[in-house]
Formats: sequence, C-alpha cells, structure tokens
Amino acid sequence: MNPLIAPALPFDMKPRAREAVRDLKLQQFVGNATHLKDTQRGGIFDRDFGAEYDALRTVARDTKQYALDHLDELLERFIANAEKSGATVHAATTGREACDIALSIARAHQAHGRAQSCVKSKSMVTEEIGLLPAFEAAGIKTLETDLGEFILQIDGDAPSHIVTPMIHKDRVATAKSFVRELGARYTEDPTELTMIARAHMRGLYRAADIGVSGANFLLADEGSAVICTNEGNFDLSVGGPPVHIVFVGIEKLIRGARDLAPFLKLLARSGTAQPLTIYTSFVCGPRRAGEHGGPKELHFVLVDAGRVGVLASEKRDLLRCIRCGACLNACPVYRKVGGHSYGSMYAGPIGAVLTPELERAQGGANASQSGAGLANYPDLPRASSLCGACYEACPVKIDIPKFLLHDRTRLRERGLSPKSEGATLALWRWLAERPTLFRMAIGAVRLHARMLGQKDSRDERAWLTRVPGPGAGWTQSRDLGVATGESFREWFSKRGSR
Amino acid sequence: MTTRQSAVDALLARVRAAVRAQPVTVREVPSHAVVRRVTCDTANLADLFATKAAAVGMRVTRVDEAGLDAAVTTLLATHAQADAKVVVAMRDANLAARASAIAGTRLAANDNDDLLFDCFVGITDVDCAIAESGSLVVSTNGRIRNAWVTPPIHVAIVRAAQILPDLVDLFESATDALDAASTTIITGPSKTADIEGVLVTGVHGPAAVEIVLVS
Amino acid sequence: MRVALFTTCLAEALAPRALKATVLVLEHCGVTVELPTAQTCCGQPMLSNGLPGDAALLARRMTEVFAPYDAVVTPSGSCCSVVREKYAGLFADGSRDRAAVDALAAKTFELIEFLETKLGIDPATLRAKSSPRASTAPLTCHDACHLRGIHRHGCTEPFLRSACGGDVRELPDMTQCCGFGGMFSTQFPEVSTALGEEKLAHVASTGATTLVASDTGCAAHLAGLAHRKGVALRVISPAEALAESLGLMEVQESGAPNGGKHGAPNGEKHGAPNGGKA
Repeated sequence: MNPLIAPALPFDMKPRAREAVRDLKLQQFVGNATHLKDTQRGGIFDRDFGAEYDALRTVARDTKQYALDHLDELLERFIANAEKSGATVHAATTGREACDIALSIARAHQAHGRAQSCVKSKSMVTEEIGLLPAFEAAGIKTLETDLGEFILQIDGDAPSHIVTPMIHKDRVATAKSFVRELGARYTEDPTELTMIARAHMRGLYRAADIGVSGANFLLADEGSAVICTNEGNFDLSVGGPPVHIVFVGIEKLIRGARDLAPFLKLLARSGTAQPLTIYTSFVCGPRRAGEHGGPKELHFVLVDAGRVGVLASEKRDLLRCIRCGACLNACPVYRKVGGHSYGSMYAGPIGAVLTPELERAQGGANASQSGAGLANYPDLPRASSLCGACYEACPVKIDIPKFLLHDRTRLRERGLSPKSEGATLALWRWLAERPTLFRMAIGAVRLHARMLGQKDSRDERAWLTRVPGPGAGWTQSRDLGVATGESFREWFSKRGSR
Repeated sequence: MTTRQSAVDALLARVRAAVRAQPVTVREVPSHAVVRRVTCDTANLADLFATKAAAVGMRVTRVDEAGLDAAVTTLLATHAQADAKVVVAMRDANLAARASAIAGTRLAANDNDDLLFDCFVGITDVDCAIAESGSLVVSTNGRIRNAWVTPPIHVAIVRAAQILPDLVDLFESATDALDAASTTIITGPSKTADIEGVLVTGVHGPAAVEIVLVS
Repeated sequence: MRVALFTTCLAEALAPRALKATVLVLEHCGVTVELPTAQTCCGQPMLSNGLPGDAALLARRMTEVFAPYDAVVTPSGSCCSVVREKYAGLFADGSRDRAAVDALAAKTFELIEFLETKLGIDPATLRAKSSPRASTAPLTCHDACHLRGIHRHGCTEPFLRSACGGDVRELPDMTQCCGFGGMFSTQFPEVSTALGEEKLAHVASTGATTLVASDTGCAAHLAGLAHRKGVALRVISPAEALAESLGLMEVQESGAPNGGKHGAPNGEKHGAPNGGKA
C-alpha cells in the first residue's frame, strides 16, 4: 500500500505537517479549494434550507444513529433482500479477507491463463483494505476510473481528500503525467486533459472482466446499494463487465429508500455544494432475464475492518459519517497540512478520530482497550486547535472535538503525551487549588517578564522572546507579551468599593 | 454450510453483540418533514423543474404533444452527424417507435453488449422527474441499461405529469422506479472538477443532457 | 443581582487592561461588579490536554467560588465556553457536582453576551449614556472559535460596530481559527504560526490598525506574532474597544511596536463618566 496513506507505524505526523506548511503550492491549492467549498456549502444551505438547516442535520443524525443502534436487524434484512434480488453477499472481518474474497471471485471467472482487467469506481473502503495492490499482485490490471483517482494512480500518488482526492495536485503535474504515462501531447487545459482521460478509459471499460465499486448507502428494505458520483463512472463500471463487486463498510446501512432523502440532500450540498450529485445510482441485484447490459453476477463484500469494534465502543457516533468531506474543508489545520499529513486515507478531523479507532478495533488482543490504537497515531488527537468548525460543518452532527478530547485523555493515561507538559499541567492544577500561591505564581511570571523582557514602548508590557520548557514552541515564532504594570487586583482594590 | 455463509453468520453474530454493547440512543426514526422543500401545492411544477434542470446545466426544450417529434428531430440534427449512431431506450413502446422512426437508419442494432460505446446519442423516456432538484429518474425498467450515460449526448423525454415535487416523493410514491436492477437519478451532465477545481463536463457520461419537456 | 467578574488566569497574567475595561463597561451599564478573590483557573488547560480529573477538581472549585453570585461575567470567550459546554461532561448525570456545574453554566456569560442577552442592552444606545470619543483608528474584529459552542460566534463585530460607532471593518475569513488552540500552539508551532500569519494578513488587508480579539489566548498569539514580525498592530479585547469608544479609558497610542516614546499608561481615564451606576 502507498506509504502516504499507509505509513510505517507508529506514525509521526509532525515532519509531514512541517513540510506541508512550507510547501507554498500545497498551501495555495488546498487553501483555495477548501475555503471555496466551505463558503459554497454555507451558501447552498442558506439558500435551500435557511433556518431549518440545523433541524435537517438533527433528522439525519438521528436517522443514522437509529440505523447503528439497530444495525443487526438492518444487516439481516439487507442480506435477505440482496440475496432475493440475486446478489451474493460476503462478509470480511479484515481487509485481507475482503481482498481474498474478491480474488477468489475473479479466479472463478478466469479463462485459462488469460490476464484479467478491472474497472474501479472511487471508493474509500477499497483504499482502506488495499484492494488495488492485492489485485495488481494477482495480475489483475485495475483502472481507477474517477478522474482524480486515475491521475493519482498513474503518478503513484495517494488521495489526500475524501471527496476531491487530488486537491493537492495541479494541472501542470497532470499534464506531465499524461505525456509520460499515456503518450498524450502536452496540454494544461483541464477540458483537454479530461478528454484525453476519457478516450483512454473508454476502451478499457469495454474490455474489463470485473467492475469494482464502493457504496454510499446500503438499503436494508430493498437489498440494494446507492452510489453517488459526478462523473458517471460508477454506472459505466457496473454496466459493462460481467461481474461487479461492491465493497462496503457495514456502517453504510440505513433502513431503506424511505430514509434516504435527508442524506442525499445533505451529502452533495456538504461535499460540493450541489443539490444532488450528478448521478445517484441504485443497484439492486444482477441483470435480470431479458435485460440488456448489467453484470451477470453482483457481489456485496460487507467489510468490518474494525467497524464492529467501533460500533461496540463509546465512539459509535463516528460510524454516522457519510464521507462528505465538509469537516476537511472547514478545518483550519487540514487547510494548512493537507491530507497526507494524517497518514491515512481518512484525513482531516474525522480521520484524526476515526483512524486510531479503526486501528484499535483491529488490534487483536488489544482491541478492547480504549485508546489502544493511539500508540500508532499519537499526534492525531493533538493536531487540532479545537476550534469546532468540523462539528459545525458535519451534516450528521458528529461531535469531533469531544472525541479528540477523549483521545487526548487516553494518550495521557497511556503515557503517550509529553511528560514535561503533563508535569506543568499538574503543577498548574496544584497551584490553582491554592489561591495565594497561584497569585504569587502569576506575580512571578510578571516579575520575570519585567526583569528579562523587552519593554514595550506603547504600554506597560514586556515581551519575552524565549520561554523555557513546554512553552518553547511558543517563542519559536512568537513573542509573549506580559503585562508588567499594576495588576488587575491592585487596581480593583485601590478603587475601593463603589 | 459454505464458508461464505458461515462468515456472514459470524459477522451477524458480532454485530448483534456490538449493538448490545452500547445503549440504544435513538428508538424511533424521526419525522422527515423538514427534508421536503417542495410540495404538490406548488403552482407549476413544470416551471420549477425546468428552472432547476437548467440550473444544473441541462437544457430544456418545452413542447406540446404535437411538437414532440419535431423537437427530437431538431435535437438529433443539432448534436449528431448524419451517420452518428443513436440508441433508443424507452419503456413507452409508442414513444420508442416514434423516436426510432426519427432516428431512422442511424438506429443502433440492439444486439451486443457494447453497442452503447458506438452510439453518439441516447434517447430515453424517464420513470419520473423531480421538480425540487431538476432531476431525471431513469431505470432499467424496459430500457437498455446505461443508454443515458454511455453516449456523449442524452436526450430525455419528460411528460409534465411525470414530475414529482420533491426527492422525498420518489421514495414515498408508488413508482416502481426503485424496483429495477438499476436506477439512476440524473442531476446534470457528467462533470468533474478534479483538476484545480475547473468544471469540465462529459468526463465519463454525456457532456450534454437535452430534456424535451412535454406538457 | 450580584455580578461576579470571572477574570481567568490568562487575563490576570497577560491582559489586566481587558479586565479593567470589563469592570468599567459593566459599571457604565449600571452593574456593580464584585471580584471573588479565591478564583484561580477554570481548568481548561487540563480539560483540553487529557487531564479531566484535574479539570474536575478545578470545576468544583469554580462552583464554590461563584456560588454566592447571580451572574458570572468574563471577557474570555474560551473560558466561558468551558464552563458552559464542557463542565457537564466531567461529572455523572444526577450527581451533586453535576447539578452545581449546571447551575454555574446557567449563570456564566461572556461580556458582550451578558450585555446583549442578559441586560438586554441595545448597543446603539450605549453611547448615549457617555461622552464618547470619535474613534479614530480603524479596527477589525476576530471572534474566538469557542464562541461557536455558546452560539455567539460572529456576534462581537456587529455589537461593536453599533456600540462604538467608529470605523469597524469586516475581517475577511473571520470564521477561520487564528491558530492559537491552547497547547496546540506549542505542539504544532509551525501550523499554529501559519494560521496566525494568515489571520494577520487578513487583518492587514482591512487596513485596520487595531484588532479586537475576543479571547486572551488568541490575542496573545496574534499580538506575539505581530510583535515578532515587527508589525504595528494593537490587539485588544472587546471590553477595551468598548471602554475606549465610550470614553471610559484612554486609547493607547499606536505605532511601531518598538519605536517612539511611552504611550498612555493603562487604566482608567480621569474624570471618566461613571454613568448609570446603580
């Protein structure tokens, strides 16, 4: 798997974040795109839902939470209805198992010795389980058909955003890859580049033996899957090849089409400020007798890969996520560090809480210990200013800051937080229980600044340019202004009672 | 029992245990009343549909029943060269016959799976349409799958009576659109903005969707 | 109504002038302000950094210190949100501590919020009770992100615009965090700084020479960054902006951070009207 999204563990986020902050192009691309999408998201909800936006989010939150709270019933119903429609349902505990199921389906269709090919529609869960490397290793030539994913594939790059995977790349990089990998003539025009990719892929669609996709929703009542795309690549991936495999996390289940409308209305607006994605496609079983087009076999691979563990934990809420990407666009930290800094296909605020939790739940013997996944991702819970923009943007109201705080506690309990910082905080708390000492400590800070700080010409303040201990990070780029004149309490008591 | 079946059963058992490990916080699905934006009281659904469809980049030609054939003829002449292949995918046999007659010699022979890749225009009717979002709903009920997404041009014939007020109505109405092997809600021409956010249409699906709205 | 000032430890150390201004503004509005001297820290640093047990000890202290009062007012948006939003999660439902923090949460307000929602003050009429100065320096306003949690994000600027009557300029991209984030500022200093620089660039684009920041931490971060870079920018609290425009406080001299003579000292303007005191 690509080390950008599947790095060596434990993962150290800081070098990647530092590098990203210095990368001016990345700052520009990611900054502009996320700001634009975030603003447009606000605009379309104001226009279409106004004051009722919050009520809509509440409906979506509770509808999805209901599904999670009754996931066993829904799953049973889905399996029965999907099989009734002629689909085959598989279950995979791990990513490896999911890949193996797909490989055995492929093998069953392999004509003697002939190499197979696959067309794949964009899917986060297939990134997660490493399907592409597994297929390539088995000699199944696989084409990412989503334009962004295709460009990343031919560049050996990895997605850095849930919805706009190549948010970190520009047209120049694309132009060069198309010359190099496709033998295309050099052009930087996005329309021409898109048409080159289209022409390249058309023939591959026709020849493909297998289609692969993810799903945005599973409908228990109907036994069908709902897939949202803007390009139409899912429809082509499922329409042509004789076999289609849908990989889907079990948390995508909802009761049925009767519960779908709030999510469809929120998903595209939250992600790309569209009323709906261009294509909202329902697939219900393989092609039927007498029909023209469509797969002769339709397989669902229900993927656990840690989800059951999350369902059982106090972080069940995280499974409400519909992968709209709004929290990434809204997040000031994501805007600065980009997706690859999170060391996971799930970047940004939701990734910061989901990645360690999925890691924990897949951790075998440690899986039951809260926070066990944090040892491999100790920076993720701290990589947030806790500004709350993610919670505000989330269409299903996942309280991401709450879970970040929860993880910071687990980090501290497991000794994964800086010791000096913990000691400082403990001292601070000890002093805070002793008002006289606490005031003396504040006085000492002020005295320290008066003695060593640089006097301000404008007011009674001194500037410290170096602070020791855990505060050193502060004065790396900032001064610390400390008021050195009369303290507030002196002033207040001097005025007397009024 | 097969390995596949036992894996499915094992997953079910684990999910059952996991569900019980936390308290149920939502016992009933809430009312979805706030989701609906457009009701059947809206004075002119056809006008709203036409406006919304145009807003997402589809072109709408409004005709009466008598003008339908002429409109389709004009659209074919505009978009497709004389020898460009056309596929007709209609549930309505009568409409299909009329469209096929218009396409004439350009009509693709319906005999192999990848005929669609050779076609330049796909003409379809729809299961229904949605005024609120300007969407078309097309299923494999009586239609060649993907005739609306594979050719570069999609011509869709919509009758005003087929327009539902809101997306909610698609899921609450008695339509059989969702009973099909495949159903697609189409809300614009195929598009991408993957390269620097620049909007490009026609990436995989059609670059142009022409709606003939018959009232 | 007995009103207590919740000073916050950060403001006592770094920004006493904001506290003085808070008292002067409240008094101007007819409120007698009391100072519970036993108050220390609300526990936010522990709460935000994985020590909820320590935070709970301080939360309990807070309930005791402020028990005698009917309202608790603070110039810090962030500390206010901790009391209002986060304390409840530290104690079990139905416990006595939980009842106490819920009671504290119900009577704790950020200054501007207190004026607007609790006292029902129309900002436009504030000036009528004073001898306001014609504000000279253009200012712009950045709200602390934690005001989101108490549904007050974006409320400071309109209030100041109306109350100050001066040149208040809209800050582009106001809703983006300034990058402070408590210990985030020292754990991810490069990211924190990059966000702060972006905020300062937006401030510069308005042409304002004074930035009003509704939390002491954000103000210290942005002022410290501006000082290091040699950018001439005053960073003050909403309380100071109000006190200055209402003529309750001298305006500090602005200019290059390290040039010129000493400006006016902190503190109360002599003979300032102490209007409407109850």
